[in-house]
Amino acid sequence: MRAKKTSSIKKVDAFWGYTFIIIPFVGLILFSIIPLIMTIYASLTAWPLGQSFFDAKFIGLKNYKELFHADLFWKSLGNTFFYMIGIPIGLFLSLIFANLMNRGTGYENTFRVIFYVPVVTSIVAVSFVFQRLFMSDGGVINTFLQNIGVTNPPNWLGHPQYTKWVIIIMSVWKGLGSSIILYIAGMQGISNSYYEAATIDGATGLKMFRYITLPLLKPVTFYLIVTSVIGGAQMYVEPRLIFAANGPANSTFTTVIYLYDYTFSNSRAGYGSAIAVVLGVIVFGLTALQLYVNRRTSK
Amino acid sequence: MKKKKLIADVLIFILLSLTAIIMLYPFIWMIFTSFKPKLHVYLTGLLPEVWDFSSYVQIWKEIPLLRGFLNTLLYSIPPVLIGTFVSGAAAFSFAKIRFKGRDMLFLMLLIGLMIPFPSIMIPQFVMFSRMGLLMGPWTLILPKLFGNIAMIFFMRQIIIGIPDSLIDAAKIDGCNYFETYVRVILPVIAPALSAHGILWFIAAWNDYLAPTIFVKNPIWQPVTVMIAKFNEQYAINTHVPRIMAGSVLLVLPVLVIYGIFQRFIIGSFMFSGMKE
Repeated sequence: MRAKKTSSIKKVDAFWGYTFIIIPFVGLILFSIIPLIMTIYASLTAWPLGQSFFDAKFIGLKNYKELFHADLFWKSLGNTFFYMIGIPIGLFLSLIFANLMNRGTGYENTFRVIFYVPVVTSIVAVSFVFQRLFMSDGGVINTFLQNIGVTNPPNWLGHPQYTKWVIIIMSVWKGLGSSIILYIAGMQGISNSYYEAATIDGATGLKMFRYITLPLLKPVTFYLIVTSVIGGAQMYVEPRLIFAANGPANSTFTTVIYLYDYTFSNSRAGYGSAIAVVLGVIVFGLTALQLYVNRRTSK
Repeated sequence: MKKKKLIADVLIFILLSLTAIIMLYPFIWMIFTSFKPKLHVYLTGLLPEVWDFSSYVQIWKEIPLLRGFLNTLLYSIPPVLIGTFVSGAAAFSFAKIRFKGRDMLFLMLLIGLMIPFPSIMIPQFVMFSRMGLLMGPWTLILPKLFGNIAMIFFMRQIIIGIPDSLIDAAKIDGCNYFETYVRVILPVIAPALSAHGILWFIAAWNDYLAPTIFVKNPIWQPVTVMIAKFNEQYAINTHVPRIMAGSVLLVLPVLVIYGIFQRFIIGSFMFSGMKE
């Protein structure tokens, strides 16, 4: 009797359990898994975008061969990775600011709110603003640099050596508030007893930060790195809007712009799919690598 | 000792204030510039010498702004509300209901987070095109209705922390799991869920890449795409105040919403945040 009852409870649990998760799963299959399989297959075909997917001609690895021999592809990949320099810079700055904004003073919450403003604002609007701020003559940045004595400020938008830094600076500025908030949340989760014990042992502020705060914030750092890398690999809007034609010497060109142009402007959806697969593999590989490193160093 | 702390406090306050100015300066510059006459942008002062509202008039004349805002609201409010409700239920299921394969299925769902949108946007485009959806609004509504994986992940963390006794009590009162979700779980997670919901709403509001691909009918475009087009057109003849007026209109509604909910959003991160 009792066994029967538990099994019926189990059935009821299973019914509701599956019912609640079925919708997100259908979404995952419909909008991610099926398209992913289609992308992988399409990457092996010659498929003009206008033509039906099922009529696409199978050509084996030809798209990949062409892709790996295309200088523009490697250039775009190099640029995409170069932008990720902003990730450690952002993490470093946000750790410092999180510390400065977590000292129990009355005014900190105002600063938290202000630093978070760029996070919520439209990347489209912000890109147009930064484009103007970085103008070489009359732009706010260079006017400021000249005022403090830099006689020959960089040609931010016109010289391939500087163009990427416009985007890196903007990305750091835009993402800072978000990392700061997550770091502060992490810091508030650390029990005070650690610090009390360390104080008794005579540890000073910097040492406590190095040996208590930093290690205990590792999950936050890990989360931030993973999400920033996944996001960074998909860089598209900023270079597209700030540098209308991929920047001087294609210096701001990214892999997703390459993918977009080949697919939607040149209608070569098969080739575009090959780019999409490589991008997916890179994101997946980088995430897996980070999970692996995180696990090894956690032991 | 006390004096030392006071000096540190003052120095930190000054440093934070200076940085706060850098964080807000682009917006301040954008607002003032949008009110300048075209040629005055080359004057160095931040404030306009003459207040000129013509850029806003021009935008109003050139693009169906009201329609754009209504479209954006349509893409960002109803689907996000439904998607949030769905995500909360899934999170509840993954956190508290026992069934076979639960943790395995959860991991599978998380893998979905690792699939970058550009890797799947071509087939999505083709599917939407086949279904005849490119000329209407559905491409930006439909995917959100199925919930948001990141939201499920965060809400699951929070629901795990809810004591089982609360759920058992509801069971004894004769609630089934749906009633438990609506009456017991939702009220408890409401602050965190709404904070994530607002952030999702803002992300939907700011979305740019997806609408440029999936919305082919100009009248259904969200306001971001309309204004980006307007701005690109004026970037060619460098009419800076018009570009900035466009940007102000894009940013302002979100800033107002953020301003209303800021304490709530930041606060909910403090609690929910990252406790592993």
